[in-house]
Amino acid sequence: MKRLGRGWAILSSLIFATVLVLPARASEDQITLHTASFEGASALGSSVTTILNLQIWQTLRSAPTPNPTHRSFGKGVIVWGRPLARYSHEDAESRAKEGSLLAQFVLWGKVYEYGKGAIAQTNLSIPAYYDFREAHPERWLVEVKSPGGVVRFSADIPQRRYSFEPIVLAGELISRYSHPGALQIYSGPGSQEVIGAIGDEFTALEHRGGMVKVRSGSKVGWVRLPELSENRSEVVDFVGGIVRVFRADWGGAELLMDRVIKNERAPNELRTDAYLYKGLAAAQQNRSSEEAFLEALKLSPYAKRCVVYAVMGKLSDYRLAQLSSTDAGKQRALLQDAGRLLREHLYLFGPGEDWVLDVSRGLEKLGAPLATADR
Amino acid sequence: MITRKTLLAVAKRFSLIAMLLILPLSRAGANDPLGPRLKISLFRYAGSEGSEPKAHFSRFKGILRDKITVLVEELTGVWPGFNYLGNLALEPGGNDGFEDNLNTAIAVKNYWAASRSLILLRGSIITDADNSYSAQTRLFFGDLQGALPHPSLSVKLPINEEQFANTSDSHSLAIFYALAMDAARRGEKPAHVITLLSRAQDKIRDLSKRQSSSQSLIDIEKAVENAIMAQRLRSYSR
Repeated sequence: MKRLGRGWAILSSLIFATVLVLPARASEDQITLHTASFEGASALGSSVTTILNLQIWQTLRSAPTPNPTHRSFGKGVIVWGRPLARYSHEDAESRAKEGSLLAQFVLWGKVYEYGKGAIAQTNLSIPAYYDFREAHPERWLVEVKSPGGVVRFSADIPQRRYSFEPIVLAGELISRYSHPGALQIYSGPGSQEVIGAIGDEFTALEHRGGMVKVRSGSKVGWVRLPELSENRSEVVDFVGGIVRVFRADWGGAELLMDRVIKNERAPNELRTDAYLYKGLAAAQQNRSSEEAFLEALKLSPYAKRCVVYAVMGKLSDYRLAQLSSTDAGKQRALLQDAGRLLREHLYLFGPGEDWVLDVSRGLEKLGAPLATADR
Repeated sequence: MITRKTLLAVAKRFSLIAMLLILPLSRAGANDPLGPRLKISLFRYAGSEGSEPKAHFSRFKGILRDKITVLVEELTGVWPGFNYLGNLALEPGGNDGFEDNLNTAIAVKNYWAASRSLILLRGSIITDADNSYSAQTRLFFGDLQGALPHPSLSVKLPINEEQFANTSDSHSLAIFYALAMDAARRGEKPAHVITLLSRAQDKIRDLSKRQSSSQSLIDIEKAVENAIMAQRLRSYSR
């Protein structure tokens, strides 16, 4: 990871630097998370961003463990940048689209003084735009065979703009990290010898437990990452999980989304979407997603995105049944379930919504028109 | 699995009278020539005159303004039809609030109506025994109260970092609910009204998880459920 000098950042809107570049095959797309330095009084905003940055970076992985099939998830990069001009998703999305960045995600926020302490409000923007990637694993595509050819169903990611639970910053963190250069570099992972502090520019090299090896200027050493709060925030797990979805690291995404689900403090909206991503990851690994989607619907029974994913899950199960040559009756029941689910929740969709029309047409091609799906 | 039959059963349980109160609201305001209500009016809180309470009030206002920006952007990201919310504004500008001279219930109601506000935020900053502060806020919904027993809700929360999430969520909840009721009043499509109500439900769940349920939370939870049922009935009758 590199953080740029403030002067540079102001002078140039195009300068960013790389957190970490993991080994990749030449043809694979790069997935970039941009973290815009949080606004806020004193250097606390900058310190909080650095810590979050390094914590998310620890969730990046280039391959599964173990890796008997020699898989690679491609290149994952986290890039640090100047604060946004305005506290706004639109601003964050514009930043992502800058030619020198082309990021898929922007993590941004603000540190507020509140009461006698401080809190960090964190947001995530995932803009939809042409980012030159060849593959889009995050877009759910289910292809099923029919007598008339292949029928395709697709769904976009659940949401593209998120606000996380505010992080109540620990008192010690506020007192220690409110001034520049507070994040110290130690000579070794267990050493007490301070050799410098993270400056305006640094690169993360490797991590071990709660420590990250960095190069900052001419210094190479270890930074200890403090806990931001007494309570574990869902930010790192959720953002790390979505990054893994975009890299088709389905097993890894499931692991991190499970942590969000188990985090009782995570907002309902986030836990709902964690279930949706968990279900998507299960389906992409040729497993049933039904349980995850039922849980999502329990948390947010009137959220359209839950219905979209639950219907896609049924269609994915139908595809699996086709592949395993399950009896025709069971296959038909899955299609009918998909249609019934959609029909019962049509009130959540506006008239003429493209996704509903596409699914309706697809079901008709498969001989299970929506109007008769539950007969 | 929710079917139309279970919906009707649930409707009976959840006070049909309240739903009947909401249904006419959606017709009465249809095609309102003045359009949606997009002003959140914040009044200077009583007790915010001293330097520390004033700083608390000013910070609260800044946080609320940021919250509204993000909340609107999240909605427009879900459905572009919510773009009209781009004009949703916390008023007045600056760090202060409107001077609060509304001394009677009628005066409050008249102000809400004449200013075409979505909600009025009024309240006081209270010094607690240990020299910490609490904010007591009255959120006034006017004709957008729907199935709430009263046109206003009261929220009292200590001003400390541990309560920040509750402060933020209770105001978001009120805004989602008021926006939903305003959309219903204008005859917006049930799917879009339910989107707003579903967001309100998210906030109710988050608040319930963190604190024991207050009467205000119970009241608005019921009002949101009733409004959802009313919109579902509307969608079937279309």
